[in-house]
Amino acid sequence: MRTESEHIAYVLHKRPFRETSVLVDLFCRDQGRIRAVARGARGKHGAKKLHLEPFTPLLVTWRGNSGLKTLVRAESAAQAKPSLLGHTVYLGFYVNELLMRLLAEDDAHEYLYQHYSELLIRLSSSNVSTTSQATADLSNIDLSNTSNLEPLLRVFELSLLEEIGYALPLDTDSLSGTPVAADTWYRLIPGDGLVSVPAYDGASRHELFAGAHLLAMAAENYQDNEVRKCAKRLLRLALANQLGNKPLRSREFFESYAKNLIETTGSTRLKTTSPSMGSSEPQI
Amino acid sequence: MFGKVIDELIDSLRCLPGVGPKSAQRMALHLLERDRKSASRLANAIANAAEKIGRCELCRIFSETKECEICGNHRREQRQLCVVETPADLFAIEQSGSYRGRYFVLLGHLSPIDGIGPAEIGIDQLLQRLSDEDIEELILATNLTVEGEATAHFIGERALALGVQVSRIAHGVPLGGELEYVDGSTLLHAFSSRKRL
Ligand SMILES: [Zn+2]
Repeated sequence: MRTESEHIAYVLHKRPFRETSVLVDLFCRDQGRIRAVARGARGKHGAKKLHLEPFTPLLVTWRGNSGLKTLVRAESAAQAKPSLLGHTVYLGFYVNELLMRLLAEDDAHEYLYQHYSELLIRLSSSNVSTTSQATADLSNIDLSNTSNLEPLLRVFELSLLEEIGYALPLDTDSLSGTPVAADTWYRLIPGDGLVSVPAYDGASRHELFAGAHLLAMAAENYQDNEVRKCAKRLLRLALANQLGNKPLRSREFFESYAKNLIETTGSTRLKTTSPSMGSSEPQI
Repeated sequence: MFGKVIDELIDSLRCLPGVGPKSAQRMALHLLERDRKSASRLANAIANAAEKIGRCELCRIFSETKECEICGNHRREQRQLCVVETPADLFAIEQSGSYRGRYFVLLGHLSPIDGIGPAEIGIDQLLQRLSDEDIEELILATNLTVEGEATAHFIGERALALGVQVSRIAHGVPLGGELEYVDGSTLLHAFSSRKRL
């Protein structure tokens, strides 16, 4: 007997498969990441039946229980849900790539799903410039906006790590079990967590994290630019331990995008978020 | 089954889209049994095309000359440049007869997760054209999908930085479309880009 069931899901990624089909990775609320083949999705007819746009919740039906499934239907779940526009799309690609790389197939993560959909709503409500507004002028491009979005990404990355079993407690020394102290430096030990460094060696500072910044992160207080930088460094390191050697392509893309935008527009406005620092391009 | 030469022909025909082993066999037998003349003509045409067809140096569609017929046509509006994702999109616009300028074909769209960035879709080449040529308006006619929008946004920003006027094709209710059946996000776009009468 064929099993068909309806699920709510987001498209994480799709790629052409055979002549007219699409291989699609979905993040389902009740099934986690699943992979399905959308037959004929690239034909005129298929595109109508299978609405496979990322960043909007979809109602999908598939056949098959484990492994590669066959998508039967996919339609927009909500009325007029705004999608991501402008450079927030690029951030969305980054988050999707993280999920693609780190979520095992057929492993439910309902909490993370909820977090993901809230993240998308926050990102989409921050859309600043869109090319749909024809001939938008350059002054609409304000990447400092991206810096405000940075904390959202960090909080999401932390909850992603926790969901896949690599929680990173920010307020506890994982060796001694004592609370993190504001005036102490810490080091990330892969697989273990944050461990205090008794004698601070100035040379390896780029590997160390200030207790005060970790505590601010634990409180989700990212007002201070130094806290953001600490969070970015720490999560890069923690994620790298899970991702292995293969780089995140969407992160590389975004970094060169942001760098180039600053060079070409020469805008100082873009740097307002961290006036004290030389290199201040917004990053993810 | 029929010998090496025929098997090779059948196998080669399978490179065509939608052609499986059965249809490949039928085609091969048809050419050999009934239409040898056409078979030779087809063989010549394929060999010729495979050898001589390259890409237009300006817009990147297939062309047997350095510049394709559209780019080389001086009666076309030289100051408008339209960016599309695929040659098929270009042909669709040409058939509609709605545009008289020239084109740039990306041969894809941005897809960072797949490692397809600006360099892979010729954006450097496009920007070079914008600096070199006297282009007044860049029309972004990429698809109205997330990837198409992401691509349009990227190109739009770069072109604006070069001082080129940029526009995006409109999107909304299709002709003959009844509002009742138009999906929510399309309606949203239709409203946000409404026109004053
Ligand atoms: Zn051309």
